[in-house]
Amino acid sequence: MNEENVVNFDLSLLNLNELIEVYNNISDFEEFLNNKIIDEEEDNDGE
Amino acid sequence: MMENNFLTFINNDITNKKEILNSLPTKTKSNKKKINKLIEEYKEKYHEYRNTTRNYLLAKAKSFTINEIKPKNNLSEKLENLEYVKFLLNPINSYFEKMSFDSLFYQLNNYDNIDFKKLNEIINSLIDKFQIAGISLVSEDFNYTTYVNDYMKVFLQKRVNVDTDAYEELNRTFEEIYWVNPSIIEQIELNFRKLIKAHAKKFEMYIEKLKEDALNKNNIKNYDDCLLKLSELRKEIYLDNEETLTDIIDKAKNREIDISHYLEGSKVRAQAFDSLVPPNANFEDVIDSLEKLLQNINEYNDYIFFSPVFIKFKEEYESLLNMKEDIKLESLVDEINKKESDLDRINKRIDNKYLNKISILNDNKKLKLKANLKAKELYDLYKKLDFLKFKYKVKKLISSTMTVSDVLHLYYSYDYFKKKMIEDAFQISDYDEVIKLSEKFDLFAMNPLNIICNGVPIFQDYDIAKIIVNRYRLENINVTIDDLNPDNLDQIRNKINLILRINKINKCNISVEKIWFIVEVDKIISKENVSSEF
Repeated sequence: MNEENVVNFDLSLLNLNELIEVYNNISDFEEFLNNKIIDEEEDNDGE
Repeated sequence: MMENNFLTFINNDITNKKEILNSLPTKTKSNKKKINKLIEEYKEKYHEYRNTTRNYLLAKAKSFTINEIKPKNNLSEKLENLEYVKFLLNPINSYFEKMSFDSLFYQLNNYDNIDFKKLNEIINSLIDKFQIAGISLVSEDFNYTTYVNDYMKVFLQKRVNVDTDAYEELNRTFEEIYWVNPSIIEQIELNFRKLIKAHAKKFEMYIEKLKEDALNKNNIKNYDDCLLKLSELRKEIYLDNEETLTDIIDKAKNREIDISHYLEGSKVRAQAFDSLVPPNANFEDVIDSLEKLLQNINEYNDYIFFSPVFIKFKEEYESLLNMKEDIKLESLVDEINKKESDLDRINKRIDNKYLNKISILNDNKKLKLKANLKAKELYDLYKKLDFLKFKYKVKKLISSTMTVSDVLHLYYSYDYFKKKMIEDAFQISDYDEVIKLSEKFDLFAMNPLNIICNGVPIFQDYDIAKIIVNRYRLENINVTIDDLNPDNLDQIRNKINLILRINKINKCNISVEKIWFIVEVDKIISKENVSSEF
């Protein structure tokens, strides 16, 4: 998978609405990831 | 293929990463470890994306900010000077109001709302007023009753040495007197009233001197000249205090205004323009009219708020229009003078020498009670005289063409009666509430942009809402009677302010969208600051 850096993108191509939208989407995804973290000590079937 | 649109890239990337995470097994410990490691990698990357994006947003928002430099002026100082001159030159009140004796007595009358410290501050202020007019009061001046003398003797001693011990001794003295004579504060007021009467000429001369100095210092010819200069200055200040672009942005950031309502395409914006901006009109002219309409509405709002005062005034004083006889003050003044002589005689009989004799003590007790009763009668007479003097003044000013502005000015000139009227008209007894309304009243009375009140006669019923509606209908501005319903005034004001602000924004070479963006970025930064605290 190609990891892209922000430097590869020209943020000035986005209008004001899109700029706010992209920030919010990034922030929401970070929150999603935080909630996705699994407790590794929890007992489960099979090891 | 490298997609140069960052938004599209992020959206697709998030979708892909979510799919990956959802597809991975979570049963075993090593499964969980693997997922968490991947999550950490993603988090690191997105943290980097967020930082970079945030920095770009900040820089962009900053690039829109316009530095408004407000030139410093001394308008407030000029205003203070002119207001002071006006206060001194006011032709309808006397030295009593100009020395603010009426305001101090109002405070004293409300002693159940003030603490002991405040009581002494008021007494100090009263003594100071005599001092600046060149009159030094001594304990012998405080002889209205023996109780007043007992207290003021200690007060005057302690006035010079203000320390905690002094204060405690004063407190003790007051306590001792109060339980024997709860009317002590009223009697202190009476004593000051008598002293003011006795020194009336001196106060009048003092005020004349102040007037002369003020006229010369401020280069003013007379009262009318002062009013004219004040009116011009207030208009200058009004323009100076107009909302700036910075004010608008700050209000948007504080959510005082919802900037999204200002965007093109907003229903709220469209509705405001539809009703208030006639199609094909010269926009500059419309803005001028809307500014005037806003002033009219603000004035109308104040008028409605204080209508209980105008109604009460009509009830109390309309009969004076047809009253032929003059209001006579002499008999009441004579009665007061006679009773004060009686009181003097009673006080002189109180023996302060042979206090070891029981008979003397008993006699003194009776005399002091007699003095108290006389003082109570005098207190009621003075209050009666105050009201009669005010009524006398009203009769001199009243006519069938008396306007609302005239009534505003009347009560503005008589602080004591303004506050009494407010208590009565609004049925309030809370001291702080009265003071608050009194200050609001003053602002209303002093507003030089008042135009409606100058033309509305107090003794006739005028439909002011209709007058406003008809005026602006001539310019095709559709403000309705319903808009001017007191419950709806905020709505129409918001509509007008929205249009005026949009005009301001356009004039400053920025757009509503850019302001919206500044506000959104501000929200983002605030949120980040909050989360970083935890």
